[in-house]
Amino acid sequence: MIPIDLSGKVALVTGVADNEGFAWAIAKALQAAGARIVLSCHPRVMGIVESILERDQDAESRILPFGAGSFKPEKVLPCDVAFDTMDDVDEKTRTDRRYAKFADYSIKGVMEVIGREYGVLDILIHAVAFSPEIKNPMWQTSRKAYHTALSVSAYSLTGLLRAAQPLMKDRGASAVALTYVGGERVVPHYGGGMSTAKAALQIDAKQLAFNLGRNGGIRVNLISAGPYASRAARAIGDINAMIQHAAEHSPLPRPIEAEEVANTAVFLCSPLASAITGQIVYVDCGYNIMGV
Amino acid sequence: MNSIEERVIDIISDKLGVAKDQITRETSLIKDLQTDSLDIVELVMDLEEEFDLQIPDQAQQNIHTVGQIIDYIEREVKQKKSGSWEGQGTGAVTKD
Ligand SMILES: NC(=O)c1ccc[n+]([C@@H]2O[C@H](COP(=O)([O-])OP(=O)(O)OC[C@H]3O[C@@H](n4cnc5c(N)ncnc54)[C@H](O)[C@@H]3O)[C@@H](O)[C@H]2O)c1
Repeated sequence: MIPIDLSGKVALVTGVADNEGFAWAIAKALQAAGARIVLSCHPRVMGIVESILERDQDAESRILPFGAGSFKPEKVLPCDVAFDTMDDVDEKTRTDRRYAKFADYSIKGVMEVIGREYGVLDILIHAVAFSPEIKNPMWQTSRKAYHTALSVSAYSLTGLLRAAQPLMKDRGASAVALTYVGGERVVPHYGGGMSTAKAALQIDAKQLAFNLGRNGGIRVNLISAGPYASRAARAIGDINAMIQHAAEHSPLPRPIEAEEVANTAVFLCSPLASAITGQIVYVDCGYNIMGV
Repeated sequence: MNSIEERVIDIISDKLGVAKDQITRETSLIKDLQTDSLDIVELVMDLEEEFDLQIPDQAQQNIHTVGQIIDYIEREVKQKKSGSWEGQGTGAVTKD
């Protein structure tokens, strides 16, 4: 049997806000393969994530695939990926009581904790996306929302890898970020600057694959997932119609499942993918190849 | 054991950082306590845990005041005690 064994590998998974999104499924699959999981969550969802990790009501969602036990991250750290350091935090955010209870929720703060506690980082998962105007079509998107979408959804990969490089270098480390075909082709609902952010993320990942391949042998790949009804996707609009459309027009005529994205992420982070970098792997039942 | 009303107010005070004497049955979650959707998700999870019940999305949409939370939970808890699950999860909450 070909093993996927990530025993002892330290994995930082960003973008968990509930037990439905891709990040949750990826973190579980990584743990099932043996990795030690650190979650970083937006400060506003820390309470929610702590609840779903503890409540009896959510026990079922914590069951790991492959009979590997129950999901238990070693750490849950607050991180707003809009902030590289705490100096970047604006006054309004800094004084909001929902943020003020955390001393440090910057990218730098997260990497300092990982550096202190583990000294290394083997796996980084980027599953963060946000636009304040996601419901607006491109032509009605404000400059401000556009910049926010780019900062949170695209630059954050560079910010995270820039801060993580000293921990990830020279140990076969790997980063995986999530993207969407709406960054390459027109998906009408995908506005608010999100399509731009995904286009940016895709070329950024290739740049970073080159930069970091030469500076520490770090691999950087993307998973382009098919439409899936996560919380973020439900905010976009008619996600169910998009899922149905994709299912009807794909070579495999069905929706994707979060576990399929998770399994691909595990593979890409494993030594089995050691020559794969700078790639976009489409986990979309083949939808992207179609012309009609 | 405190009354349901006291326990609900305790949780709201704790979660939202508002003094207990500022919270009455008439207090509006959005207008008076300035909650947003993430606050509500957190609050609902804490209430579900405290009272060991599920508050479906549909029911949440009809809850706007602290009094409506208390009424909802009192009704659900009573139904659970009496062993009748009828109406559980239907989300029926009287509007004011
Ligand atoms: N759901 C889909 O149809 C789909 C398809 C392709 C790609 N994706 C991508 O998958 C990734 C995960 O999304 P999802 O669909 O699982 O939804 P999700 O809502 O579970 O994940 C989005 C996450 O981004 C986090 N986030 C937003 N702003 C942040 C900030 N400033 N700092 C830190 N975290 C922040 C949210 O807290 C949330 O955890 C995203 O990159 C998304 O674009 C989703």
